[in-house]
Amino acid sequence: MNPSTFKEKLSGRFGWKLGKAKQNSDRLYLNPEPEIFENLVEAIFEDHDGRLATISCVDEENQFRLLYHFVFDGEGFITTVKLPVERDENPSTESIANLIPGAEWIEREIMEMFGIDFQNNPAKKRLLKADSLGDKDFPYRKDFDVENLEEN
Amino acid sequence: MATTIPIGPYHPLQEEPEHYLLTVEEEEVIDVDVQIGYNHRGIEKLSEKKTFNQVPFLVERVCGICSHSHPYAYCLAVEDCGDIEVPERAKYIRTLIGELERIHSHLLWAGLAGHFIGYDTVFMWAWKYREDVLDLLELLTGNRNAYAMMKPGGVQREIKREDLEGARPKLETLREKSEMLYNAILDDPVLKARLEGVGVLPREDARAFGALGPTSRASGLPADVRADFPYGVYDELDWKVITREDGDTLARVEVRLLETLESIKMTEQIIDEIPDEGSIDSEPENVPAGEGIGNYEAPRGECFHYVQSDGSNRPVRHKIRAPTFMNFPTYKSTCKGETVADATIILASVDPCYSCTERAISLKNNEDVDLLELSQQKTADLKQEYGVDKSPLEEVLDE
Repeated sequence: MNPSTFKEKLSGRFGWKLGKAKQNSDRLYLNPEPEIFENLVEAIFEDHDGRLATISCVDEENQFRLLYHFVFDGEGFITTVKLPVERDENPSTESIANLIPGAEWIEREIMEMFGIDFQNNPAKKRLLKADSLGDKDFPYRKDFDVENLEEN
Repeated sequence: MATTIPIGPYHPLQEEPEHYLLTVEEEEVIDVDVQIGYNHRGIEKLSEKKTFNQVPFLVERVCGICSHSHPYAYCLAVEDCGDIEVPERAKYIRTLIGELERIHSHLLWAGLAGHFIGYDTVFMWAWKYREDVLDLLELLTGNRNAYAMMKPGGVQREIKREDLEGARPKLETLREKSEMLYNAILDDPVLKARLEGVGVLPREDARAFGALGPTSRASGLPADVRADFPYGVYDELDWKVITREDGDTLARVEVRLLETLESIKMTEQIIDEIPDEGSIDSEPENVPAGEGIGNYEAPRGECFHYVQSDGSNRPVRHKIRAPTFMNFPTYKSTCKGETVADATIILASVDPCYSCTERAISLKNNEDVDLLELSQQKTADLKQEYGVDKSPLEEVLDE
């Protein structure tokens, strides 16, 4: 399996909803319709043995984008599934930690650093954010003021 | 009745701050909770303020033990983003430092593991031999740690043939001593009793938690980035991926000790095969807009870096995921049902590294010249001891 054949397999199941894709010999980037997202992640993890490496969150200022990186160890390629999240008062998305236990800490880190709520994450409590930072301080957002942060 | 035992955040057993809460019923651990964040430094955010060529020096400080792994993973990500070629000779140098780093890291862990179960002879042995690896790294790069060798497109400095040859005798003794350590540890009935069948991580749990490196290989998952995504010169070397099926603490010890021997073998091959001539840097001019992923097999497992560029000279986003971040949550599977006395070695058996896991303080350079001079003097003394002439560093200083 390589990024092309893998994309074809997924297209066969999800059709146009798989969205625009970008690929080269060992990377595949997917932009699926949000409605198929959970089924797609399940298919990658359960049916195709993709290993969730991590989730990168990018603050694009008008919205957030979550990048779910799945590594295919034996095949030597990486598939990234992109999911936009609206940047409103309470940005939120559904957790995948009930499907992939390894996602629990990853989601908790993003909750603390970017303030995106992962609904139904089984352990919503502080993991690593400093006690001196408030519940509404999200240090990795682009508009977080680092310069005026007081040391303590 | 359940009792809660707090360990940490500052505790004589721990070399880094972390807080465990063990819930126990008599001697049996029924639940574990972990609080981290005592080392969080915001490196991902700091990285957005550095240029692409400055970032390696920053991410080198993510972790003092894998100080080659993070810059390497970052450079792979940038090279993926900009389709940047790396010269052959630079690949050899990168791989050489990476494998020496693995030897010192695995020996460090073997020592600590011995210490955790109260077997300090293993600790003394392992750290004694580890010292030799650190000397080799200093001989080749000028530093025991934080080698500052990586840059996108190549490496920062040359390694001379005479330095490489100077390393050979020490590698030979290192192999003998590591084999001795391996046999001594695995033949020891006391160690076997403490480690065998303790803290089992079943294969399916290793997959579900996304466990990495020796932790997952000891549970029968053959994943190794060096074999699956052969960066550097791994596809030209003769080596094998070490796996074990048992998933217990003993298996994790065995995998690391055997990997140490594989790494010594690879290091010797690299010294044989590294070309003496050729460029070490493709000097890429800029990184185009786009995104790139770099994954690198650090001693503890896969380091994962994601870099996004908008065409300027700084990354827009730089995500870092260290292996311990994925390995550590496996305690939920391994600690439950075990005894309190075993919990420490089980927790330690993933070789946790909190500095990495939290990665995120930057210290201002205090320009302590005396310290720098002392450090250079030590490297010079070491080179004399190894019978090797002036280092490139000294030559630069002389000019």
